[in-house]
Formats: sequence, structure tokens, C-alpha cells
Amino acid sequence: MQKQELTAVVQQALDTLNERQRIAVVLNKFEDMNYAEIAEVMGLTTKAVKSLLSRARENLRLALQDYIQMDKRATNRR
Amino acid sequence: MALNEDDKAELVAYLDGELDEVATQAVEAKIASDPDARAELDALRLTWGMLDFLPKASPSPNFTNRTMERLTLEDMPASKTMPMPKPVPGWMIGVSWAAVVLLAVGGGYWASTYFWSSPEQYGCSSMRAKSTSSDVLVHLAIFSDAQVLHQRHVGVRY
Repeated sequence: MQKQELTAVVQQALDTLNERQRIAVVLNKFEDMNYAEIAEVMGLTTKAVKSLLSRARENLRLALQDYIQMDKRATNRR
Repeated sequence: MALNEDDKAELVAYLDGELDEVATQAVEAKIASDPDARAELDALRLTWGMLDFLPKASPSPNFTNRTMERLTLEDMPASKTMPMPKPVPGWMIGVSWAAVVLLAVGGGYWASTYFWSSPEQYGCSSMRAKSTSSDVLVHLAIFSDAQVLHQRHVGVRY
């Protein structure tokens, strides 16, 4: 799969998240914030951030499941 | 064994390095003994890695200037950005005019009674101001003349 295609797929998966989940993912992944920092920015408890990120990553996993399988198969073939 | 929400949250926190030593050991023990937990952990790790395909957002060259301009505008004193006052309703103008007219009429009436019928104007201020019974006696001659004149005019005897 072309990188451009993969970018579009990942973007679509990110769009399936609700706003709070998306913000938490962006802060964690791209701003390198830990749970305490995200909690402060979003006005949540650390426990709530843990739960929020868990659900967000589970949703992303479901959205990208097919592509992850493809990636695994490609890796096994090599 | 199927993973519940707490197990998944622990796996994610483990990947993010957010667990303390005890919790980390507990997750590692679970991964070692549970293939489902291991598969879930791999899938979560791969998913997270796929986010690296997203392009990093880079601000436009004039982003800083535009942001600073906006901040400057927001910091301006309220008087410069204060909205125009609302127009006065028609009924309020009417009431104001009525009040002005009433004040003018009342003031005029008071002025006319105070100045024009003032005793000083006719040179008999002392009579008007100090009109007591003793004054009547002092000016009895004047009162008597007035009484005679009145009797003649009306034809009445006292």
C-alpha cells in the first residue's frame, strides 16, 4: 500500500474517534505529553485520561484491524 | 482469556510507560501467561505505530505574525472596541419632552406668581409682610376709607 493511501486510512481512523479521544491521542502521540500533563490540559483526572486513551486506542485498533493484519502477513512472508 | 476494559487500560498504560513497578510486573506476568493479552498488546503497539504515517502539521510562515496581531487586538482597551450604544426608544424621547414641558410650565407659573404679584413691586411690602392685628390698628384710617368706599359702591351698611 502506498504511503499516501496509508496516511488517508490512518486519518480516517482518527476521524472515527470522538473529539476528547482525538485530543488525548494527539497530545499523547504528537505532543509527547504524559497522562498527568494531558489531565491538566483537558481538566480531567489522570485515571480518566488513562481510560480515555485506552478507549481511543482500542477504537483505532478496530478501525485499522484489516491493515494491521495485512502488515502482519507481509512481515511473516519476509 | 478475554480481556476486560481494565486489562486493556493497563496494557495501554504499560505501552505508554505510565505504570508503577508493581503494576508493570503484573502486566508482564499477564502477557507471559495469556496469548490474548499478548496479541492485544501487539495490535495496540502496531496501531500506535501507524499514527506515524500522519503528516506532522507545520504552521505557515506568517503564523507567528498573525497570532501576535490577534493577541494585540484582544489586549486593546475596551473603549476602543466598545460597541455603539443602543438607540433610545421613541417612548423615552416622548416622556423626556413631556418632563421638559412640565418643568417649563411649572417654572414659569412659579416665576410669575413670585415676581409679578410680589408686594415689593407695588411698594407695599411692609403691609403685606407684616399684616398683623396691630398693623390694622396703625393703618385704621386706610381701612376705614376702604370700608366707606365699599359701602357706597355696594349700598350696604355695616
